[in-house]
Amino acid sequence: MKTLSLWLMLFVLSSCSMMQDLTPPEFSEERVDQLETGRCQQTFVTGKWQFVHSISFEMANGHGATVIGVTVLDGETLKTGLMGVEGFVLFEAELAKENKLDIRRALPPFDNAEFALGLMRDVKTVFLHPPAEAVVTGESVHGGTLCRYVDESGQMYDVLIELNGSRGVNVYDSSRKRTRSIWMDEYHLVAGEMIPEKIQLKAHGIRGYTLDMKLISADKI
Amino acid sequence: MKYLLTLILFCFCTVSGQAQEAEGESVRVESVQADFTQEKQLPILARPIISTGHFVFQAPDSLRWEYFSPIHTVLLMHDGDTRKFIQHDGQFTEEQGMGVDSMQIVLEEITSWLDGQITDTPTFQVQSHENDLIVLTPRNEALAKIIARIELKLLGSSGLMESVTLFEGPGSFTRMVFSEGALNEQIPATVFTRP
Repeated sequence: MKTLSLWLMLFVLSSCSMMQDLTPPEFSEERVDQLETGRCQQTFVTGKWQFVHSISFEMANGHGATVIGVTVLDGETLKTGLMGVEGFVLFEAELAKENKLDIRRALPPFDNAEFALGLMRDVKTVFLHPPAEAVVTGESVHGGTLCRYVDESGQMYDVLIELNGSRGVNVYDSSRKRTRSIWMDEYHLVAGEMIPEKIQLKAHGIRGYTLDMKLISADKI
Repeated sequence: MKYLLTLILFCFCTVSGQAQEAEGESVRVESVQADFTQEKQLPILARPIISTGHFVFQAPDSLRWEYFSPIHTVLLMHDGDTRKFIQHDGQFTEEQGMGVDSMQIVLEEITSWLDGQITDTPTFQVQSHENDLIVLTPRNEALAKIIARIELKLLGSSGLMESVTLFEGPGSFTRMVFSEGALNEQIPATVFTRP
């Protein structure tokens, strides 16, 4: 009985958390300030970079692990690799500009296409500017700057610059439900660009998960 | 994970065993420990990832495998129990889930290697070359798909190794260079029970 009560409580709590307002803020005026879009653009690096992060992930069931993630950007392709802390490569793939995915290595549990596509989508969202022009700029919920982009598929990206210096990206699907929340914090200067020490990505929904990324190295290559 | 640890221990046991055979000794490997620097290279990497760590193995089945950087982690195996800890904000937390159970199976193999099956195994074909180089090639096709070969560089006749290079595929390898190696020293049990 005690166990049943606990499960019911957990169910209610998780239901409440899923009922959070995860829809985009609305703006009365649709204007685009070029100065603000310029600032939003600086959320994403330009040129050729190699990033290495420790990535701790937690699934909805509480299980998780820490891996090392490698991201290489060269302006044309996005290459990514996941390896155990011991260095054994679990996943390696390359995404060309026209979204052509080449999976070079994928070991269990990272050996299904859905995982690969999801991973590359997350990596793109974290490191690359949204594939669209800004449709509106304005004030974020917390008084910072917001730049909104909508891509060809109707997916919406809100790039946020908060007053405390942290930055973020909220992604909404075409029905305006939030699918990803990304927060970047503790910036420092590397090769003339501001690079976040910490990144957190939350995937929303029933099969949600959280990735906590901590910068190990950032190299302009 | 499991392959890498297995292979490194296999390599140490193999080399130690060979050194002892050469000297006509009957002493078994009771413990092995060493510092290591690990270089990880992948085709996508412009610069390799460097890790540093230390490991301690005590027969029959106790292991401490610790990385100090870039992420401080400790894998402990003792009395049939396998646990992995990772340091977050200065505190070790135990990691649940992924991959830990498979280590139990690996340990059984390590034990059999320590019992004398040190050169010819069902898993690897072992070839000795000049300049203290030993090359291990997987016999199993499934294993060969993820590990092309392993090269062991011996440290003279000490029974210890200078380096291990694990080739995963074209342009992809993990090289560990060992230092401060020691055989058959007394190891306190707490080394294998506390992160």
